Amino acid sequence: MQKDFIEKYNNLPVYNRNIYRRNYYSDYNPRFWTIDSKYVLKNITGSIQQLDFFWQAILFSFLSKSIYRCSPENYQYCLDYFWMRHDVDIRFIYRNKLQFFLDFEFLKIDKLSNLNTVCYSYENLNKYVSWLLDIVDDLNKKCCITDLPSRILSGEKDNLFMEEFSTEVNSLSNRFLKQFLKALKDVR
Amino acid sequence: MLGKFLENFFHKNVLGKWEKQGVGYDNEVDIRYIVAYLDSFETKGVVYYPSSGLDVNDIHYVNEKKIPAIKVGMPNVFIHSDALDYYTNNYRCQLRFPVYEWIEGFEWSDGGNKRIYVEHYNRNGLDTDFWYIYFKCFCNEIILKSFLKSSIKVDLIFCPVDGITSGMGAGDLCENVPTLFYPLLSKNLGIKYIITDQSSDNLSGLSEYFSQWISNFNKLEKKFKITKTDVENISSSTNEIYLNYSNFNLFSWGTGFFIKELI
Repeated sequence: MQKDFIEKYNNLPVYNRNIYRRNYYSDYNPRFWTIDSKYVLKNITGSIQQLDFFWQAILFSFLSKSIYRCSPENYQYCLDYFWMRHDVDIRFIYRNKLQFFLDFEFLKIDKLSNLNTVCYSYENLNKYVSWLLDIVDDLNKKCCITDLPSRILSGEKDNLFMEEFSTEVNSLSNRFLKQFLKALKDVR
Repeated sequence: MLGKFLENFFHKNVLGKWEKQGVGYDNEVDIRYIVAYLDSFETKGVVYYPSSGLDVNDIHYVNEKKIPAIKVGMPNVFIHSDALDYYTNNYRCQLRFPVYEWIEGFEWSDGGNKRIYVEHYNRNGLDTDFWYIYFKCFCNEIILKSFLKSSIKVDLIFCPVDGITSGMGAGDLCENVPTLFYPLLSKNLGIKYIITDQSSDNLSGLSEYFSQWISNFNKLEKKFKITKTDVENISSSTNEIYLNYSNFNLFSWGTGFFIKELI
């Protein structure tokens, strides 16, 4: 994982909230990012390629949520791995669902600008899937005790996991989901 | 065996009067019930962590999947002790959802600082459970004596940051037996492995303390009569594997450690 991605990821705007209230004994406060179309627009200066970072950030956050939900036996190891190797606390997640960001905020950006983020995203879906898959593969080899791709694939039966994505087949989030699941099945 | 081990701490009021709290910390529960309950539990590996403080890295990492060199599967009993008073029970924050799910727990107090926590957890995603027993404000040597009395088998000793060789951090509170001596307990306790930051070779530079430590060791059990020669032979009778940071980097303190194979 690139160092510059980690640095930018760690510096995204956040606010504190304890999402683990269901766990009576928990005492830590994961951070939620408050990124929206205005923030993205303000921070894409000069080049559409800078959208890649926001894609990677939302996917990284999604991966954390997926491990939390689908593979609790690996969660502690993944937390420690990222913390030790990359100084990243992957408990930090997006406030909103992945589909909200991809399917709504990107459209808003395009209305507010001439960036064509939706088109750019469709063209680069494979790249984003590969980026995420590389991380899954790395975690699977370096720290997981069960097969992480298989465990994430089990999310297909998990409502909370599937709610991250739109059911609209042509939506960006749905297209990403299909490609990601296919890629996971291929590497399994 | 696990119940019998715990029962030792309540025999003949050895440790004073104990106030009991019960299932879910709501109701009083008879110790006899807990003893029978724990005895009915099928142990698949017992780990002892002396001077643990509130650290629970053994629960996270001491299993065959994470450390293939130790053939202990997925241990399901973790016994911790520390003579110092860590005023909180913050280990609970580390045994958290989604990785773990608390099932039930029991707690005893002597009315002072001593506490015994007996907690039952599930490992989510693996559908296995385990018991975590924490002796707060207890010398490690008390726990060792109880192990010896109850005939419980301890598969693995976890003492990864035992930098204070002579006292395990408790100063004059306890009749200290350094963990470097623990290989001498392997036959009595069935210890298969010790995970530690100290090689047995370190003993050679500590001979000035031997007479006190040997005396303390021999107090653990009446029949013990170890000599300086036994201590000097520890190193040659222990198979040690060193795992450094680069080939096992997931302990939170990020240092290397030794695995001592004893049987």
